[in-house]
Amino acid sequence: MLTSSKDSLDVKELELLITRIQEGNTSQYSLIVKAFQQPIYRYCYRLLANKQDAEDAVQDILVKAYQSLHQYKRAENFSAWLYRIAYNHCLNLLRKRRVHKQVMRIIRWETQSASPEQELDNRLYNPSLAVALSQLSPEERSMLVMRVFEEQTYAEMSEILKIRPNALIKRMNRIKQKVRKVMKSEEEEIDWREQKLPMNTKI
Amino acid sequence: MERAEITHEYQDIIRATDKGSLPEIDVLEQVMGRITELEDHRRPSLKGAMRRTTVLGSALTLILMISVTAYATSEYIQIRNKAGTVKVQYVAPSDETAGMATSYNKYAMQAQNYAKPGELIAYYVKDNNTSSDSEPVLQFEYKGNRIPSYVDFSAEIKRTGAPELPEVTNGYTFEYGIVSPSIPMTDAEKREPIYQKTLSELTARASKATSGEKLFMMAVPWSKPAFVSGKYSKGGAHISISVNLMHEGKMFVVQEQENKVEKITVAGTEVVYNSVNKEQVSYQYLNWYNEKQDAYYTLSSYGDKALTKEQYLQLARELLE
Repeated sequence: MLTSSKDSLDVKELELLITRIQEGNTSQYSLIVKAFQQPIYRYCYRLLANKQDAEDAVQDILVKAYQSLHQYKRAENFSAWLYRIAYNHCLNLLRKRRVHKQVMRIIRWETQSASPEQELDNRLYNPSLAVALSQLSPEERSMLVMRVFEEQTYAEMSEILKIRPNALIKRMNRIKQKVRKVMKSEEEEIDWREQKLPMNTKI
Repeated sequence: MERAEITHEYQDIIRATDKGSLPEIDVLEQVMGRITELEDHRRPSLKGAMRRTTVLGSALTLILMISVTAYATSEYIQIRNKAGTVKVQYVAPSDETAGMATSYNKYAMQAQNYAKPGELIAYYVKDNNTSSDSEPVLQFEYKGNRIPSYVDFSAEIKRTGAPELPEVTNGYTFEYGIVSPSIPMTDAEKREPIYQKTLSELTARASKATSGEKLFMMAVPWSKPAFVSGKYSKGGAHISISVNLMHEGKMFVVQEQENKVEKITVAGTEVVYNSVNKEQVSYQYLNWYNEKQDAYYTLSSYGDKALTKEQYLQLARELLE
């Protein structure tokens, strides 16, 4: 589910490769990087909505995975294992962002303009979806990205998130309703603003 | 089926996203650079941790056939041959041994990609700025090959003259075997006709190349083994028997602080029982030197049931007798 087709590895190749890396053949890890960098990047970019943050995250995740490779058990699905590292890493980043925002509000710096790096990529989602996503918790947002944009099955998500598929279905339904509700109200708001704009310009 | 339903189920959300594809990235150099740096600085702890799942492989990475004699030898284990020459020497971890890390080498990686399992690839890098040698040198990459059939494994052992390993041992049955080649490193090996012929062929190809190509490689036949290993299983429990062929060299074994070693005599041979206890992991393995074969053995167990000390010694006895 998580390899780019160009450099994809089948399960057997992957297992052999991991054994070699665990035995100390560091250079073989480059094949893992090549196979997984693009899908992980896609996931991080959708989740973090910032190109630079996503690029940094991919590097950090792949280095972290290398350092944790001794913890990887062969019975596990490697891509789910890697996705879990990516999920935890991105969630931490999103939580830090949230704390940062709160601190900024407390010290009344909220009116300062964000640096280009802090600015979210507004090309990625249309305004109503961007607002809806911003109102989700990092966990909910990650689940939505996995399900909608990465097209993962509930079984795959369950392996990554360690949540039972039935519970995931219920949570995804709630997330879906929440997103649609916010999107609808945002679209109505945008329509209203657009209708009002010509009147204002006349004045 | 389920994936197709996702598109339908979430089409309004999908419509609200950028239609263009996300940009491509390439972080290979950055990631491998950071890993190489980590390896250089943190090798002892990383290696220790790596051994958790592959005791055999990682134990082998700590075994260094190096020509260094400057270690304080008195408090570390030594195994001598009948003539009294030290053949195996345990040493403390040092900067020098840490520097033996496998660093990222893009040419080695390309040679790996080029090779078929079991092939030894000789490669020559034109205008290699990273090489300190003034003379052109060949480098080698071997692509590992697990042999799942004992008959084929046995045939490979016969072809290379490597020490034989059993098909079944202590109720554990053969799962796969590995026989790896010795890489030419000594001056004598570099003077051999096969080395010289390969070198001249590759340097000739390099001098004729006009397209800015830097890497020239070819598969070379090999018959001299450096390493033989067998993995054996009984349900979810596994043991590994591995043998490093020393070819008249001396074996240095890096002994980490957490590794308690004990020398015991089994069937007339001195074996070293290694017990490693770290904060998150503990494991044991056994080593001995076989003078007749000039080989260094490592016996390890892992999986859902590890061998006890007595079982290790019993198994060693079976293999030695």
